[in-house]
Amino acid sequence: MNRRWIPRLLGLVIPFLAWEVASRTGLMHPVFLPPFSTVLWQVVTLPGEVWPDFLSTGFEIVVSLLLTGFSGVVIGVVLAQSEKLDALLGALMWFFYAAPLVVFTTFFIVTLGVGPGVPICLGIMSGIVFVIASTRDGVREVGKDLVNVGRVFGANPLELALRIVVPAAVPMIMAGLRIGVGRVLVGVIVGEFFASGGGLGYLIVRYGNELDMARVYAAVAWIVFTSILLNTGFARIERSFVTWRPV
Amino acid sequence: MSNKGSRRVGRLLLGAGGLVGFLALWQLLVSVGLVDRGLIGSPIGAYQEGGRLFDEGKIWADIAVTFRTLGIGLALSLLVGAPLSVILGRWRAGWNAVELPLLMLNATPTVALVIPIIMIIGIGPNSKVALAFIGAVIPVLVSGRAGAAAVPDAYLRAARVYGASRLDIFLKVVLPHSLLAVLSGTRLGVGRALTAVLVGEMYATQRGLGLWISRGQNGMNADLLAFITLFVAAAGACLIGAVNLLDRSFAGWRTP
Amino acid sequence: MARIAVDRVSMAFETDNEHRFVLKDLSLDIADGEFLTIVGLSGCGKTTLLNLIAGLLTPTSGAITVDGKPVTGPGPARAVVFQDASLLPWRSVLRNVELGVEMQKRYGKEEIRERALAHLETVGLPDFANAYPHQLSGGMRQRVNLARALIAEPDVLLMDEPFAALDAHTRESMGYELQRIWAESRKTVIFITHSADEAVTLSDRIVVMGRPPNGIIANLDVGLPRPRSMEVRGLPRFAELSLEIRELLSKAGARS
Repeated sequence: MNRRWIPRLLGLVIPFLAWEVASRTGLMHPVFLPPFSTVLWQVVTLPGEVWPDFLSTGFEIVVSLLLTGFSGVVIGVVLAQSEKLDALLGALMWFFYAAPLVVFTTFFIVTLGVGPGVPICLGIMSGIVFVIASTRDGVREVGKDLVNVGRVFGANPLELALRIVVPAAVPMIMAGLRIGVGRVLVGVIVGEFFASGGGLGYLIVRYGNELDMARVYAAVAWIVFTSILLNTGFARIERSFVTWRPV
Repeated sequence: MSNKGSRRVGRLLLGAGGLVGFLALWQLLVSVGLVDRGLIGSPIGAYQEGGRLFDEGKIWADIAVTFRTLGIGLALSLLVGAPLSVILGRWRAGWNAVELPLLMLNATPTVALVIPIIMIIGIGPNSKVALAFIGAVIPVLVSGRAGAAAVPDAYLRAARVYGASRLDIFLKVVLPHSLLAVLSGTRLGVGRALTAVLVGEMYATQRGLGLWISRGQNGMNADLLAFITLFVAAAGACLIGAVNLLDRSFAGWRTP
Repeated sequence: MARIAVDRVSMAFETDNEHRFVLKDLSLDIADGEFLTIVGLSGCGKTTLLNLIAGLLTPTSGAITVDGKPVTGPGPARAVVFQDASLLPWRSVLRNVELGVEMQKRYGKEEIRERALAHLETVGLPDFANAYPHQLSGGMRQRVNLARALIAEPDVLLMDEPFAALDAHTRESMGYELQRIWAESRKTVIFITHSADEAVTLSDRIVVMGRPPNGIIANLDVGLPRPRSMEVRGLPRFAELSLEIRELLSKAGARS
């Protein structure tokens, strides 16, 4: 126990100490790299100063995740029904998955205008492919056995979907959301970066233009916290579903 | 086998049909007047604008800038990341020391680092190389480290039975196993690096494809914007596709 | 050529600051050219015993000798065929077989290649030299594993449940194949299995191990005529022996 914690502690302390020293001695220009202690103070005070931006980033993430989850599941269930439809949309979906999503920012700015719509849309676009793909695979995996069980007990197609197919696919859907959540966050931040007038991504740009670098680093730190929180949170939720994952 | 092959071809054809259908639907909506062409452009207009752009030859230099930046950043991240990940995989205390900072960096969207990096390094090409490097080196380290740390016991025992020395085990078992993991980290890294470079170019640069994307806001016409969006998206998708293909041809090795 | 003597060997592993004996004062002699099978429940210490003979582990007390020479580590005279996953996935079949001798510096490169090809022929896979493990079926992979063990021309072949991961049919035919190869080379074989039928089909002698650290609870001579084929399973002696082993195992299992 002890042996592991000593290098861990050093690994955290030494870089931050080096940061502090480099900035205080002028090795790095203190305007571009303010001392770590200054930044730490800003991390603490930032939420009080600009709470509306925290709220709008939170709002965008929540809306983005909800829409990603909901529409991803619907599209995934539809695609699972037909091999042909899946193939028809496969290349298109792959294209949006593999393309660097920043290229669509300008397009969204032009069509939606500056505001929370751009980060929300970019977030959905970034993450939805994972939810679609894993829902589709999950629903396919539920397979004919389980569906036949439902048929034997006289379920109609809608009941079948709501009571058997989707619940049975929930572990896979959660796995898709877990993989997608990091990308949703990136999409939201990129969107705020270029077109929103609010949010943590916007703060980075604004403080950057004002050369207020301590606040830039503080905003980056809050994005990192959010990312870690979302990742571990979704990993935990996913694990709680694994216990009854269909084999 | 041939049945499987023909099904594959069928899927690919349908997929291509889906792409064409998407463009056709877009064109139709614009032609009929349901959607304003001045807002989103049209595929045919984009094609004409693209043709003009390539004829004038202005865009070539910017394509070269972006991909050269990306290439240098990726090469550096492999040069540093591959050996370092093997060392961290075999050296416990070293890994314990860097684990938390590295996992924090791994959770950081590279775009959030664009402004700090540009501030520290400057708006020249070096800051974009640094962004590509940071985007790619972290997944390389995380994945490569895991590969080097988790060499299956069965491989090690087999090598020992047939007389492997410590050096043999390192060169013939640990190293190849780690490099495969490095490759799968690279797959993730290429995407992150590309996004980081483009955002860097959009935010502050005089050159590169990122510049073309952001020009759309400053009075570029809709057809040109549509072309740039589609073109850069396609270029990125091709790059990711190539890396995926390379990785998949090695993937069978990882899971025998 | 290779008489193995296991003399009052004990093996303890440390768990939570206490010694847990897996083997205690176990003695066993294996004659030159004998095919000996060890049958036992999971965790009875049979794999530990095999690893001790291979030299992968060092006994807590007691000694193991091969032809009077004490075992101090892995050596080229003893080759091991492992369970499924010990082939190196990034090496071709041919290169995996070559691993059996390349680290002993006994032969030149050319000769290693020739020998590897010859041994692939022996195990019936001459056409798969350039394939990779993930492209082969489980049965074929175990043939490669066998060829890798044979190429070093060992006097002793140690086989740790080599066919456990195969389906019943492949498993049986691999058994007959092994018998053929053994009959041609007359190596001393120690074979580990869970299956009573497999043990009776293959061996000259069967050792049954009980719960740890009880060690050997029975020592049975098979005495069936060779070469054996499928018909051997119809003989009364086969049924009798197989039943006896099953009863011993279930008694050992119940005594917990």
